[in-house]
Amino acid sequence: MGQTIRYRRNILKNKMPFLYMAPTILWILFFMIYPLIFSIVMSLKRFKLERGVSFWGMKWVGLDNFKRAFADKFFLQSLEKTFIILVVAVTIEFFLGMCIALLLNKKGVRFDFLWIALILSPMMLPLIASGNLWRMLFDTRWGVINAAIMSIGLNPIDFLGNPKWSLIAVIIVEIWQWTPFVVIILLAGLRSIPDEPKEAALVDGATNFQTFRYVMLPLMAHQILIVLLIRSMDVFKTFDIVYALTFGGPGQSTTVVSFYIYRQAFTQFKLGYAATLSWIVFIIIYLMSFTILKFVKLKDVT
Amino acid sequence: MMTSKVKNRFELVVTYVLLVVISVAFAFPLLWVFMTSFKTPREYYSMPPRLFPKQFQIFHYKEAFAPWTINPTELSEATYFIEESAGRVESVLPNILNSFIVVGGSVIMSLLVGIWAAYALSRFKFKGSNAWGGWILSTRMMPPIVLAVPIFWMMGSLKLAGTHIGLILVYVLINLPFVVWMMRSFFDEIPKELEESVLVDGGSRLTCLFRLVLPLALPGIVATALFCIFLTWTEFMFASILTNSSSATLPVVLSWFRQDRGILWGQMSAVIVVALLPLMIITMVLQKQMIKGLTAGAIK
Repeated sequence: MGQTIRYRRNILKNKMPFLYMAPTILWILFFMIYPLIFSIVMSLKRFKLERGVSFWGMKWVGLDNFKRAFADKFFLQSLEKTFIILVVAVTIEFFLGMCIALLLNKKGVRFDFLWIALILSPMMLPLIASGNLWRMLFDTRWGVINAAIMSIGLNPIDFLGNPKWSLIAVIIVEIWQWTPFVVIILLAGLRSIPDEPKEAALVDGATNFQTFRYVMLPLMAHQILIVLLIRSMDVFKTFDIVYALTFGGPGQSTTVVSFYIYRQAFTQFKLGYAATLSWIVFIIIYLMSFTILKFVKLKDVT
Repeated sequence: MMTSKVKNRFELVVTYVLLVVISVAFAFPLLWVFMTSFKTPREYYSMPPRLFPKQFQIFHYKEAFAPWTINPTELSEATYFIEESAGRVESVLPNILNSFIVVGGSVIMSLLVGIWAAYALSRFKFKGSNAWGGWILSTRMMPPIVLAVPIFWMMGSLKLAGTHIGLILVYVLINLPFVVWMMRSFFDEIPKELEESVLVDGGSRLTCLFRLVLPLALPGIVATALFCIFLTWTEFMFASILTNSSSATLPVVLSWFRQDRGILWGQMSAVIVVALLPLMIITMVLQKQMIKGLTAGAIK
């Protein structure tokens, strides 16, 4: 009897878990870690895709690319645009998403699958398609949005041609595209809260808002943190929508950071410089997520 | 008592009104693109625009997928159509085929690569297993542009730029964290006792995996595959730098619709609707698993 148990324990403790892990780890090493190391090398060279220049022929320039980046007005502007989108869009997405999730979670609301399906529908659209689609809706002459604006007696707005409005247009599309994602995660959070604490608070005479603020919100802190973290990091990936909607224009008004790096790399072929910029962005994202995590953890304790 | 009942009823009505308004607002653009794909240019180039076409025309679908079937005398407005589409009259069918090859290839390959790690993370307790799991998951946080620059050069020097294989290799990397995490949670749902009995009877781990665990996890494998299709079918940045005009996938074709002259709304809408269909079906089939994938690591 004892021998069988020992025998079982021995085979269950497999000696070669890493053999199973190997394909995945190797894949990540070769297609992610190696390119990342390569990218560091590129960022330290004057690495431009030109005829007749080989990899080994490209000159080492040390940290020159980084110095250039911090003096590059357009790069700093693109960071600024990204931060504007980050603050405005993520804030609105979060509050709107929270309101929708609360509505869906209300007692007595029926057909929730129907509402959820309709609200989640933007998620089914490829980002590049939604950029195209909104370009159609925003059109000055024939777009349905301007038709609505004109029908209430206002002048049509040139959303995509006027630098004052173009960033707003991008933010509107971002909100439309990503609020559904916020909704499902927050809804999952709301539904995981047991009824008892809510009811206890209400019986004790707390208002609905107080119950929400002091009972439910702390209980779903984890989901809130995750959704803010994922969305904040995703804003730095904003690329497809800008590509299809405005192509960074008019002027530089909607050139977000991913789009700027993309243009540096693949239309100007300054690969080394683009690698430098992408590392700066990566460091910013890392520091940002680190801060969010720290900040929220501290708040949880107090 | 009565008043609180009335108040509740009132609240519920307000909730429903808000839900209707919000749902319509979110679904409206999709409805609009669907309707536009059936309109004639005269209809979508008119002010004020109308949601429903007077008559459903499949012309734009022909134009986008099988331009050779268009008979110029077939429609009274045909000359207008043809002129409008002068910018692009090639069919997008080859691009759909490209998308199928790349998406299919990458999904199969990522399952082949990732399932082992998922199994190990689910069944073996080894040193640092949580750290490895976290590390694999963290790869999805990488902004694609950071990888795009070196991978563009890498694929170029491997002579894989413009081929399907180059793009497949990258897409496997994109899929892997999801494959590992989703499959791990599906494996976790299968009781370990079944395997223990096989092991005690002298079966090997591989027998367990292939004869027992994988057949039981088949619904999970399907769900994971569909989720990966969802991810890669829409990917644009890598597709745009690693394909050429003959290997372009559907999202790349969609990006071509941004040209300065002519907007080709009808044709564009038709392509969008077709690009959307697989995702729509997938979403309907597995709402629950979709959410599991999207929130991988979030709800834990």
